[in-house]
Amino acid sequence: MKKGHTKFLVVCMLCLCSVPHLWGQDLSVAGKVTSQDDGSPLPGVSVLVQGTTTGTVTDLDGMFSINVPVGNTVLEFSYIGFKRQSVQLRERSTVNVALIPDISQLSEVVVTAFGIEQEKKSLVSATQEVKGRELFLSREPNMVDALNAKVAGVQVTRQGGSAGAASSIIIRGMSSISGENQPLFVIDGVPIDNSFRSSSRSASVDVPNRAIDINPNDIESINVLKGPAATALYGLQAGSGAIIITTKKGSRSETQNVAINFSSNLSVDRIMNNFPGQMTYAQGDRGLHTRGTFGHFGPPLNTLRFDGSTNALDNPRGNLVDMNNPSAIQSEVMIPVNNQDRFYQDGITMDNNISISAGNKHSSFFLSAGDYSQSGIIPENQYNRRTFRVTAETSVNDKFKITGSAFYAHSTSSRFGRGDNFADVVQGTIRTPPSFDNAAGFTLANGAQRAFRNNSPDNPFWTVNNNPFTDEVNRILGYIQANYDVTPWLNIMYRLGTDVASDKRKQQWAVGSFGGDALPGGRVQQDTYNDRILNSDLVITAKKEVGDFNLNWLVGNNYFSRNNERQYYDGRNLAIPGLYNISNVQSNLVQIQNLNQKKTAAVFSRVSVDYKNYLFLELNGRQEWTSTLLPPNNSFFYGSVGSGFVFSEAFDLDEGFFSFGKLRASYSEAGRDTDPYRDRTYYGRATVSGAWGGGLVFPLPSNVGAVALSSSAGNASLRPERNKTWELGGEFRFFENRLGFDVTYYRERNIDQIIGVSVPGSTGFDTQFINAGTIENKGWEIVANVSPVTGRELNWDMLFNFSRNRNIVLDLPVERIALGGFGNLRPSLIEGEPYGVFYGTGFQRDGQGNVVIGANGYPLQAQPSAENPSGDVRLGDPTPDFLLGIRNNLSYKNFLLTFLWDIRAGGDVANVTGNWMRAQGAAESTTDRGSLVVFRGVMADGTPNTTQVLIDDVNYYNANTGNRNNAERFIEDGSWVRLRDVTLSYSFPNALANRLKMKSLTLSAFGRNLLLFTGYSGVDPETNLYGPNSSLGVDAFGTPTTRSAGLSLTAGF
Amino acid sequence: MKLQTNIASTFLAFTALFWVTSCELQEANENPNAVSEVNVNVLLPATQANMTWAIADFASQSASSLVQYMTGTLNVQFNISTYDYLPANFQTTWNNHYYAGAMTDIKTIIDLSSEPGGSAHYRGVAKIQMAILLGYLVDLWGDVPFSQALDLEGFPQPSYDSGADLYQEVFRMLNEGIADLSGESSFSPAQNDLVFPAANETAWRANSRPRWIKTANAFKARFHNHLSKVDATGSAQQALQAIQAGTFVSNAEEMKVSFGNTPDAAGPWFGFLLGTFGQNNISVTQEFIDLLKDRVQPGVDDPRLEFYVSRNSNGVYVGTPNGGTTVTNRSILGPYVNAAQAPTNIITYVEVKFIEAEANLRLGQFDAAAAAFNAAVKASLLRVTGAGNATYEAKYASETGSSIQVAGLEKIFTEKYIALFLQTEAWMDWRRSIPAGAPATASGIPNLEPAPGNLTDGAFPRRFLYPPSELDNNSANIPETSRLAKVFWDL
Repeated sequence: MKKGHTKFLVVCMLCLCSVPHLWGQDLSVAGKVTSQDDGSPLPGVSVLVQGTTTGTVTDLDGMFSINVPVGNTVLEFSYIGFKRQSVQLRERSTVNVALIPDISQLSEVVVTAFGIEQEKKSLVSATQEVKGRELFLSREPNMVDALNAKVAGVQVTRQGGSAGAASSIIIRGMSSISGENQPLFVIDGVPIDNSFRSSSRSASVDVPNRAIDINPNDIESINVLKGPAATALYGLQAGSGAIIITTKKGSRSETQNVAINFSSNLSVDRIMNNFPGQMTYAQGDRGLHTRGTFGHFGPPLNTLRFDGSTNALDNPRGNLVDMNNPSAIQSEVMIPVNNQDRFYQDGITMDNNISISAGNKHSSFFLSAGDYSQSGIIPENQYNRRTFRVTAETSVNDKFKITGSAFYAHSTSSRFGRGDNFADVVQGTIRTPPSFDNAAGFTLANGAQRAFRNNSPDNPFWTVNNNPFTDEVNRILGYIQANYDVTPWLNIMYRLGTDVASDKRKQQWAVGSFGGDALPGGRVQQDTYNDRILNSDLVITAKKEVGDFNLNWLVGNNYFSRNNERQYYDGRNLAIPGLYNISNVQSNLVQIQNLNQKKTAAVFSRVSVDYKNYLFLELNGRQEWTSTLLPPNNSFFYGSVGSGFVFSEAFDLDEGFFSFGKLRASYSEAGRDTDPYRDRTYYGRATVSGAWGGGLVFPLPSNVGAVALSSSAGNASLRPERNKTWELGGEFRFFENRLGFDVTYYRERNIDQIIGVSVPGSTGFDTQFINAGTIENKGWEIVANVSPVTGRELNWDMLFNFSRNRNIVLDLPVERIALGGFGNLRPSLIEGEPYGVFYGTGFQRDGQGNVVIGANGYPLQAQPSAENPSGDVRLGDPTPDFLLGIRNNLSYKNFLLTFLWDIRAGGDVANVTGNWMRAQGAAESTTDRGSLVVFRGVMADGTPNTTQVLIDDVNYYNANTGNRNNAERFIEDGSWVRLRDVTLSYSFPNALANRLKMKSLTLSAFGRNLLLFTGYSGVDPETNLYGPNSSLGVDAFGTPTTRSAGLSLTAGF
Repeated sequence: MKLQTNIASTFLAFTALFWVTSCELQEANENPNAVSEVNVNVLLPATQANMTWAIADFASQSASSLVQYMTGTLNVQFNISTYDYLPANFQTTWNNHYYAGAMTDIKTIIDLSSEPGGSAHYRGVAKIQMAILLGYLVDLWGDVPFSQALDLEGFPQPSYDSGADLYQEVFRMLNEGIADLSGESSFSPAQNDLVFPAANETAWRANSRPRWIKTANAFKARFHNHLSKVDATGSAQQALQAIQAGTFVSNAEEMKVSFGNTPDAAGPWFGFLLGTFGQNNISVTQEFIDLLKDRVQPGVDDPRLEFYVSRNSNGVYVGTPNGGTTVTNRSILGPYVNAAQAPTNIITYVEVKFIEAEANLRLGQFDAAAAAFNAAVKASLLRVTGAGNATYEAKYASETGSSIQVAGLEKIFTEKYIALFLQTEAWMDWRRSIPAGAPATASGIPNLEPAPGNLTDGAFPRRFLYPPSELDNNSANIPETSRLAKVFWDL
């Protein structure tokens, strides 16, 4: 179809350009047309002598020759997916042209479920494609990050700014109460693992999501399937959408062709912003300088002097004393220390990739190697990844084709704590008062740790030098695929794919560490995951033309099996300090082995019919069996129906102004199963843990072990969850595609969700799995492209991605389900409210919403009451109002400038960091201490408050009237406008490149996150403590985000 | 063509390998990590560990702050000291330690050992443990679910039983436990009894079984004595009756739990204090140190002080004023609790003697009251310090029938307060020592001052709060939300 369309366009252009003129002697011109992107030859490019009907098409090697009548001086080159280019002949007989890809022009064929290629025109529900080139512009190691702001309906959130950190992706809002809400990732037709595993979501380190193993440079394109497009054939696995990834392959050629591409990126990362800390006051409480405290409520630093005494173990200048103290040395002043500047460093990223592709008439192959290494802004934070890919295909005969692909990734990293723990380097840095310099050594002469309060938190330099979390991943993805054309209209495809990975993690804490519950003797944890996915697809497709009708029929079988194994060892009190081997621990030895297995099988079918290639109807059905539900609920059927109508063709509207118009509608239902072993309640090894630390490790020294019933109750009658979605959309393009809109409205309901719902503790359980609850997501997705300037040399086009999702919990079996929060912030699911709405402690208010002020002049906090027994009030909503990505491409001659604005409106963020640091006097906002204020609000009797009170640590920041217990104080608007990426590249003229024995050469300078405009008072509202899971918008000592700049070189040989 | 047919058939045969039926899928659903049926002998240890944490972990940390042995200096612990605690603070204890932790498996032990061929001795121990936990639940929270509790299928939203009714249930279960233990049993616990371990079943029957019976009687005495405000005379008579039925006669027999002497087998307080929260969030009060300092005479402290509290690096005791923030170079808890081998005290001989003294005093039997009181104080010194102390005993353990008539309750409650250091039970006594009908701001014995900036305008909290698991999922049955409401025996 692609070819047909090209011809159609050529004819169009011929019509538009035909002008009568004189014929004379011809000039013979020849040359080669390549892609500016990677230097590869472009076959089928139409070459037209401007102002004439004379034209030709390039051959498979991109070569052309044409006779140009005298008097004509301009050749026009046009090709689908690339910008039209005009070249002045200037008497030359050789013209080589590199065409610039046109990302605003939507490609005509996309890859959908099971690797099936579909003509875009025939799609009945929304998908959106992102080309490899677009991904490349982000220069993100994590392909999930590379999708950020590039797809309508998709929200990408990075967990933190560490090298190798996870990112989560949510398509059309949070829909599952207990699931991860992450889409299914499929590479070349094989589902892969994108799990996010953390021993603690609120503490621990920034762990990756497993899609980070994939090298984005290997990706040809990503097609994001939203709603029915995803669930129609993938069913339960793709309840949150599907990311269909197609990797690069070699291309066949009449003659042997070899292309080598090399790219190299070098960039520097810098902290986005420091946390705004105060630089005026010393460590202490109530204006007095003391060392045991977390408080920054000491005296102003300029009133302190060192005394030169030798009993201060951690400072050769002595102890800090008041300037009027007799022992004070007046010249020994304390210069405030910015511990954030001392700690964070410039991170360096190097990314080198090379690929070789070759093809002949019957086969092709593609080979690539990538080497990515990144050092983070946190010292010693490293992420390194090496990847290798080989894909080859060959035709055994004219009916039988075999394709095979193998991918190997090896990554290593070292990471450090963040979030809610005292081993956290972020917390350790921000909490340190300006009267203490963390960088002046992390070990005392006696070997103990040097830290600002000789107790938690750990000195961050101690942590990065002693206590790394390291991991090593080995992963192999691969598939073998056979296609057999039984007859010209009947094809059988079989594909067997696998994803095998091992992930070895180790966390150590040196003797003398305060955090990580490692006291007093150090600790070591080893955690190993071995995972295997096996996926088998058999798909039989048939095509038939009957009159004006085209029939496509597909039937298939899928078998999927997933095995996960985890081995975990944890122990404390090292016998030999410094030896971090599990056999070297002397106490608290915990061993866990977890084996999980899940298998599903399905048969599916799709029937699609079109009438005259403008009216489309598609029916899908899938029968599924799963191992995780019990009969009869383990077998279920679902399907979808959809229709598309290209009215511009039906009514022949295809004119200059209105280029294309299509309407589409679809409805789908899909089922979703659950994790293994939820059908029963099990007895397992008992653990006894204290509410605030401590606990008992079985077996006891007396060798007595212990068993207890799980506090999570199983349920034998679980049914599959159901997802019901309808979707309406339209595609409208004008002025020869210079302006286009793709608009989608959807409404999705996830009903009968399988939830581990909290039950009254008095039942003897914490949670029970039940089918209940309905969540609705509805919203708009608009993709718009506009090309304001399409000149001969100057081109400008823009691509807009707009998403607005409204989420509501329609039905819930309990009053609320609390998600992961922080302190007194409890993001919850509550009927009638959006997913993850912020609830928690708030100000006490009267009927008019005024804050009630207590007799002492300070605001009161809402308390548990008979009407509101939990005492929690509604505080905010982390779901953004809308997201908008605006890509601009400006090209002038060989220069290309491209940049992406990323706009997020609304969406509350809980600035836990800011609030805790305010309570401790570490935040810049606490420099108002000592001032007298009257809080706005009313007294209990309704009269306005007039009591003047002193802002200080005892009565305000630390006390229960205003401190961190009140979660309402730290909810902020998380809106932003950011320059997500910007790239300026220069492509060397072919002549110059050829002289360097290259086919193409491009140099680029790029930046990421260069500008951020936000009213948010923390480091960056783009953060998520809990990673890819239920609760959103919690900023609690996450690793700061970064901005980066770099240089890139790509060369084709 | 032949080649193609071969290819096609190989192809189909290969795919058939992966064509599976739903039967095969179900085989993948066997959980290799856990089982769904177990025997009583492997269930018992975890119930006892959870029981210990239920009594002596967060419940004890909170009670110790409420009676001002300790003060919270940060976070939730600070909130408790300022009476600003919230439902969420009690979820772990209520769920993980009481109901889902200990009680559900105790119920299973009772059920399994009531089946033919079951073990009466396991059932007896389980019933006593259940009675103890239920008693604590009532003492700390008030009305709680029990008759409909621990039955998710039958009662997904259990109703709340009145505390007074539950106390009758506690006495019934204690009596049944004693009866079960007094009879024969086909098999019995041994090493797996973590409270009173024995090398084998015979030794357990000979030595541990009587101590469980004595423990049951001691708890009967305690719970009857809790009713002092409800029925002053009856509660005293019943308490004495329970003691006379046979309970601890020395420190050696009492119920204290020790799981081992390594850090990973230590009791709840040690593990808590070892971690960062224990180090940062809680501190001994200056008020408690002041009570024990110079107690015998100026310069002579209560001999228990150095066991309860460690001197700081300068060799002095530095506490934190109640409700204050961390003090530099403060004292930490002493080896009495802050040692891996320190046992967790559940109910002691000392406490029984104090109960005996208090009950006798209420009945006007002053000689008996004085004798029991003196024995209690002496036993406390002995068990904490390892020796008697003549000067202390001369001053505080030499009561006579006539001397104890003067401020007898004050003496008993004060000495008991010192003796029960860091035990949850101290808060029950303190609430009982507030005169019935006194205003909410009235203190018990010893006289406590609420922390500055407290959230209740100086009123003393009288109960814990129900956790969110109950508030969110069982709200229709919740009988009470106020911290200031009183449990049924507190008037």
